[in-house]
Formats: sequence, structure tokens, C-alpha cells
Amino acid sequence: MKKETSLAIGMGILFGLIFSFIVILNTQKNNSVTQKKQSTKVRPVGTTEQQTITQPITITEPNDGDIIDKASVTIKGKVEKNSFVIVQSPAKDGTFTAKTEDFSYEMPLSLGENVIHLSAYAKGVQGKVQEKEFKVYYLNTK
Amino acid sequence: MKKRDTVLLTILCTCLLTVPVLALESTSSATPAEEKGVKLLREKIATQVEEMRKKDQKAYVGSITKIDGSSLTVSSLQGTDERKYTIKIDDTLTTIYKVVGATKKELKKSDLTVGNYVIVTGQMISDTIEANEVYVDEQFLVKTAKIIEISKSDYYLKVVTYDKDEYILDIQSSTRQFLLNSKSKEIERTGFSNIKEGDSIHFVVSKTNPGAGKEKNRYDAVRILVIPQEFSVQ
Repeated sequence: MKKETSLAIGMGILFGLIFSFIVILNTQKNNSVTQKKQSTKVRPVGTTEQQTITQPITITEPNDGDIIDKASVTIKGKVEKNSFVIVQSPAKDGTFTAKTEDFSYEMPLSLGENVIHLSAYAKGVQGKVQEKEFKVYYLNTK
Repeated sequence: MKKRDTVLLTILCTCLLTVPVLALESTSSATPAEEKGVKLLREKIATQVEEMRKKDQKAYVGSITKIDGSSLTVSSLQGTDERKYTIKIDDTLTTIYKVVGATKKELKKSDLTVGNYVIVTGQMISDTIEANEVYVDEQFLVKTAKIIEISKSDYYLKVVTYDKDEYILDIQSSTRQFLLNSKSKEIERTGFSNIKEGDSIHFVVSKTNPGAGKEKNRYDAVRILVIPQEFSVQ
């Protein structure tokens, strides 16, 4: 083999390696840019975050239909954080702002049936108010 | 068998039949600390049994549709389904009361009438309840809705709930009217003139005493709490 031929082959291999190296670098760069763009899309912006309710109103205590033997009941449950909650019963209306998802609220009861209706107005969320209703019975058996 | 063998066998059988007899009274007395511990344990068990009994206690509610001697038929709406119970009244065991404000007044069985809304406690066996107590009470509806029409001349509000049920609420002089202050979030007394279409309303009406001559879904409002529209869009 002539010296020129060997040099040409060597140069070809070298340029090939350089070219493939550049192509690999560019592909990796493009991939990272696409991933960055996608992650930006997934992350909700401030206003979008406020417009969805993640925690529906739930009552953990008392149970619907419970018989209570004192003139008040502690209502415990979960609600969207920072919601303004209205607690209604034939005896009284009460309000509170839920600082956290978990809430606890003391409600006075009247003798007999007590229909307790909770409505939650989530902060920054327009539209349907979340509602929950249950009944407890204050029966003073003495 | 020889006589001697018979005697031996009899003795052996007598010995085998002898069983230990436990004394009726304890021979060793418990220490005061042990007695206290037992007493505490008994009290704890009694409390837990009482709590479990209370937990299992359930109230059955509905309107009386039929009275037949010592038996009542009570109908209850659970969603859209109607459920019927038979209530057995025992003259000596069942106590009947009427809820009057914060107190209760004892009634006789003969005071019960068809249409009374009752709360019954007792044990249910296949839709028949052996009643311990019967309370005649007022049935209330508590709802949240949107005001869609205001009649300034006839003092009524037409409202629609989020379940798309329409109600007409007559505002009487006895109706307690409240408004939520959007800024301070305090509940304040208000008047009819401050209520606007589009506001949200939380209302309480009596289903058993809707008011004289009312059509279906029309009630004298017992209490209303109005949430101004500007609060809802905050």
C-alpha cells in the first residue's frame, strides 16, 4: 500500500470519529432541551394551581345517623386548604377558614334531629361550591 | 371372684370416683391493691361495653303513614328510594316524647297522629323495630342555592340548588336574615333589600311546617344566610 493511501484512510477514520462525536453531542443537547421544555409544561403555573380542587370535602367524624348524648358535636374532616367553610344546622350557622386540609369544628346541637350542611368555598376557585350533608341525633335519654 | 378381690375392687373404685372439691370461699384473701385493680378493670370493661352499645345504637326516622293499635308504619325517603318500617310500641317499655325547643314533653300513644315526623330508637329485626323511645320532631331542610329571582312586592326568593332543585322561599317577619360581609368575613344581620339576584343563599326551612297553603317546594324561610356574588369570585 502506498503511503498516500494509508494517510487517506487514517484521515478518513479521524474525520469520521470527529463527525460522529459532534453528532452524538448535538443529539444529547437536543434531548435535554426537549426534556426541559416538557417539564416546564407539566409544572402548573400559579393561576392554574388555584383553579383546581385537589381535596374534596370529607367528614371523618361523626358518622351519618349517629346518636349523640350531649348538646354539641365535634366535626372532623378534610377540605381544600384555605377554603372558607360554612357550617349550617337548624340550630346555628358557623363559619371558619381552613388553614390546613384537616379541620375540626365544634357545633352546638338542638334536641332531636340535627341536619348539618357544610359548604366549602375554595380560595381562587370559581364555580360550584363543595357541599356535604349528614344528620346526627341529640337524644337526651335522661 | 373371691371376697377379698371384691373388697379391693370396691376400694379402688371409690378412690377413682373421688374428685377434688373447690371451696366456695377463697382461702387466701386478695390484697387491697389487687382488689383495686380488679375494680378498675371491671369499670373499664363496663365503660367499653356502654360505649359499644351507644355506638351500635341507631336512630330510625320517618313520617307516620299508618297507626294500627300498638303498631306504627313509618315511611322514610333515602335519596329517591322509599323505605317502610313497622314500629312496635310497648305500653310499659316504650317512652314517647315531643321535642319542644330545647326540652321534651312526654306524650301518650294516643297523641301520635299520621304525618308526625318521628325519631325512633330500638332494635330492628327485619324492618320491625321494638321501640325504646319515640321522639316526635320537626323536620328541617338545610340547603345551599343560587338566587335566580327576587319578588320585591311579594317578598319571596326563587332559588335553585346545585342539584337543580327549585325552591320558593317566602321571607316572613319571623325569618332570621343574615349576610356575609365579603371583607371581614363576619356574619351580619341584614334586610330583604340587600339581597341580589346571583347571590348564593344558605337556607333553613321546616318541612313539617312549610306555612299555610303552600305549593310543593314553597316554604316560609326559617333562616337565611346570603353570600354576596363578589365573595364567590374572590
